[in-house]
Amino acid sequence: MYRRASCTALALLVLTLAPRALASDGYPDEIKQQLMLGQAPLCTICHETLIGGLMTVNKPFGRALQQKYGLRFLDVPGLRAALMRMQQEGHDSDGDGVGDIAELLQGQDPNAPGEGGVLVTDEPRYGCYCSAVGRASTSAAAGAVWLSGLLLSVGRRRRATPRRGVRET
Amino acid sequence: MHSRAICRGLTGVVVALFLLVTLWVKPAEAYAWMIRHDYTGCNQCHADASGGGLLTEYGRAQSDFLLRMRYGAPESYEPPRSAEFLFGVVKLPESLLLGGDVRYARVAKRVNGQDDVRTFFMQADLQGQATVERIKVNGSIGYAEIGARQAALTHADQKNIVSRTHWVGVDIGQDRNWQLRGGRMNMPFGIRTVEHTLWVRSTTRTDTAYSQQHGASLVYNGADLRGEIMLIAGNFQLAPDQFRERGYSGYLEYAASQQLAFGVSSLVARASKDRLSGQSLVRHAHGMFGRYNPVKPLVLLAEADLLAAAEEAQTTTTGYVGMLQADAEVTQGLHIMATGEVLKAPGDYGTSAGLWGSVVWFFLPHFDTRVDVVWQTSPRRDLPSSETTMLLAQLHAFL
Repeated sequence: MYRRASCTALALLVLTLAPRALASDGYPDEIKQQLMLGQAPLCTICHETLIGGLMTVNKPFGRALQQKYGLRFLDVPGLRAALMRMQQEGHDSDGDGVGDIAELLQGQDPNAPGEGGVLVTDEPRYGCYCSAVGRASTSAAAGAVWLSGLLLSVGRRRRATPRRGVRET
Repeated sequence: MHSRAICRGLTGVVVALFLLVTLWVKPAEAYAWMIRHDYTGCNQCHADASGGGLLTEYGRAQSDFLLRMRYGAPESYEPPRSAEFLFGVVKLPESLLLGGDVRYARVAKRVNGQDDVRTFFMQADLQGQATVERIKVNGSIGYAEIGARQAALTHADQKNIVSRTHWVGVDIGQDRNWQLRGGRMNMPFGIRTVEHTLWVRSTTRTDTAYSQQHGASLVYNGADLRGEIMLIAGNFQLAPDQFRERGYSGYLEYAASQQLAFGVSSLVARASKDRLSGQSLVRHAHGMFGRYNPVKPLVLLAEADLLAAAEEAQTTTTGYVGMLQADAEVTQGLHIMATGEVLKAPGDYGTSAGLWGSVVWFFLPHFDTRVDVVWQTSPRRDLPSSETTMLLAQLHAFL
């Protein structure tokens, strides 16, 4: 019983940590660092929602990075190379005559043509995010689940093991 | 013509009384005025040792004995089955506590002559706690049609799934007077009251509606002394990390007698980027509070806090906030309350003042309703003072 409970706790730990591996957590910070932006762009510069995730890249800028410049997930060196090539070639995803990298440097959204595409970088976002911005929350949740499982295991083990010298009444 | 004006006025008053308006989000019932029944502490009735929210079995019994209007029913030493979860339809094991709140609201507000009337489904929360020996696992999940974004699990501007609290705790000590908890919890500070929009709660960001934070806390409940200190790790339902606050919050309360309890609170929290101002912010709140029951039907609650805020590249500004509430239970289950509050937030031009008149009626087991009339005024530089009048009512049912 004790072994089963401990294994369950360990399995919970693995399961709760596993989803982190599917998100390219570092990409917004990497873009910020390489282009020396004031703030990291949101995940929605490439993805459908702020959660990110596989199979959700639907923005022109993100699709260009993938399809034209061969970017894959968890490929930080690939991202750096793709951004560099994009800047050299002046790639323009929204066709407004201003290259994507130039727009990012100006705080503009490379997916939105003209002056309306202001790049939102640093507004508070509410809810659970399990990708780049939710790194700490995923760890906290994993820790809480693991701790609960471990404590339950300990509790069951103590109940299964009678205390020596204590008379049962 | 004169009598017609009087008629219109009376009609307006009657209509206003019939309007079921609402005091928005009141997710946790914390009745600090229970001191009138000699309850200086909160842990006997609530799963949260510092009060508010999910009731224990004992708390449910007391809500039937002491809170609701009994309509002349004789006293009983056994709580009725109807006081239990879901009116006793479901019998829960001893190790499991369940509860829930459903709230419907209508708010009529006039701000500087502009009217705003809203009717909305305000709250639907389920709360639960499972206990295994000394370990407690506690959580809530619900739906918020408007607001409560800081407690949201989903990402919409409104109509979100919310989880206001979720934590794991362990009771420590031979008498289980201590409890160590980790998770998302109500901030321990000041008087934990249901009126979460009072300035003492909203300005210090210690209300029980949506201002909970993740962290670790240590709670103590003794015969005369109780307190809690929380290390704030941030609200992980808010991103990115720069908006999350780190710091501490805590209180210590001493019950000098069955009718008088007083204490101190302290809070310091820092965010790289405050979600309201957008600037780096270190905020302070330090103060005192008290609960006094001079005669059986009357309870006085008071709180006064000094405030300070240090924003990026600016000098530190100071302020204060306070409130005094008189709660008179004219007959069991019917409360008439008057509350006065003042606020000068750090950086504010002047001192704001507010008055509340409230009637709270616990008219049936698991049901209560309240009406609040609120008037608030705030000075503005080079402009007339801002004035807000609200008529709020609420119908609440708890499971």
